[in-house]
Amino acid sequence: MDISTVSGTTGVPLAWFLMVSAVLFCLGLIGALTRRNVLVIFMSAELMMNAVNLTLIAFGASLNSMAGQNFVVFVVTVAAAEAAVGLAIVIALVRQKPTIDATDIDLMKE
Amino acid sequence: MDVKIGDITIPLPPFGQLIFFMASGLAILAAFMMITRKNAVHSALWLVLAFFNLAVMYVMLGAEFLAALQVLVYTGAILVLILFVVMLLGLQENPQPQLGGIHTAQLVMAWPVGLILALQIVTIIIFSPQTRIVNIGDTIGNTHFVWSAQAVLAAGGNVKVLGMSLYSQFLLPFEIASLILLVAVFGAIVLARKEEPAEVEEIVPSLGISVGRRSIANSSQEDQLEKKLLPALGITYAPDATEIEREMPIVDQPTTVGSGTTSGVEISPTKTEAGK
Repeated sequence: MDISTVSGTTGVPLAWFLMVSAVLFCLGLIGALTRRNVLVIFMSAELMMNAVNLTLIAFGASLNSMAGQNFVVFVVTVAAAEAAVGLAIVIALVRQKPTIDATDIDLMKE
Repeated sequence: MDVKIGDITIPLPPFGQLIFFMASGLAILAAFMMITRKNAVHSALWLVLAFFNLAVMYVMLGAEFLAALQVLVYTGAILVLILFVVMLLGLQENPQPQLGGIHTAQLVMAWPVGLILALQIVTIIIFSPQTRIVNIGDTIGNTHFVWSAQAVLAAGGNVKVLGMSLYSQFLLPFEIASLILLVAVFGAIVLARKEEPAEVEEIVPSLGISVGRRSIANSSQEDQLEKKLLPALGITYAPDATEIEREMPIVDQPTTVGSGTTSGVEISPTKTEAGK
């Protein structure tokens, strides 16, 4: 395997980063699908977003472009905003009904 | 790089690959532990480990600023916020999770679906001719702004180059991002605020008077207000608003009644009509 000496990566192919990113994304997906705690679902969403960030940075590094890293800056910004609003929603939900179980949150059902 | 143990020589992969295996293995392990722990606090701490290992991989990819951002924003701010909320709410998951009905179906469906999806993506990546041959640092395609690692170093490093492109090429998205943060701050405050009576002037329709506090309307305080106010005004209480209107004196200027305890209560004919 040809070893790249650029930017300290020393011979890690792009495909490996993409595979790790895919596995992390799918673990986050499984977490979001199986867990019932709203906060853990939230953390799984953060994990999925980080997996996508890794893909963006890896492709940016392989394409010699800064666009991937710039995009990640914006993804992190949106993730921070999402965290603030999402946790505020969780707090508002708990005020209505003291549970963080996603299956118990059915206030609009009746 | 080889390791010699006696006569046996074990060939080791290059140093970068070793670091990559460590970081990626720990990240995947931490992610797996995160989604399987029962306690939300344990999940959050495993996620911290996963994020740190992702930061290591960012450094390997030449994105030093984003590695710092990952540690500062994700593990420093977002996860601390999540931990704060977990501990603020203080609600543990059920010690005996009821594995019945829809939740069992979720578990049975989600794990195969997720694993098959991962397998599919990994297979596609392995058998894709593009990714098989490309190492990080090789140039494929023709990008408009070419920033090879050497070019980034010559221009003053990753942070400087990222800042330059962020404030020139991506200036408008950058400003929009600041607006998103501003809106998020407002949204978080509005959502998480306790429901307090707002100081909004509203009209009690049955009385035809406006009260200073919204919480008085349609509450038990409304009845007390009626008992308190109406004798002083010389109006006999009637739930029908039209009778009150008939007996109410017509005044041009709004009359403020009661300076001390019932301040902010005023009568105005215009508002009576608006109340209907």
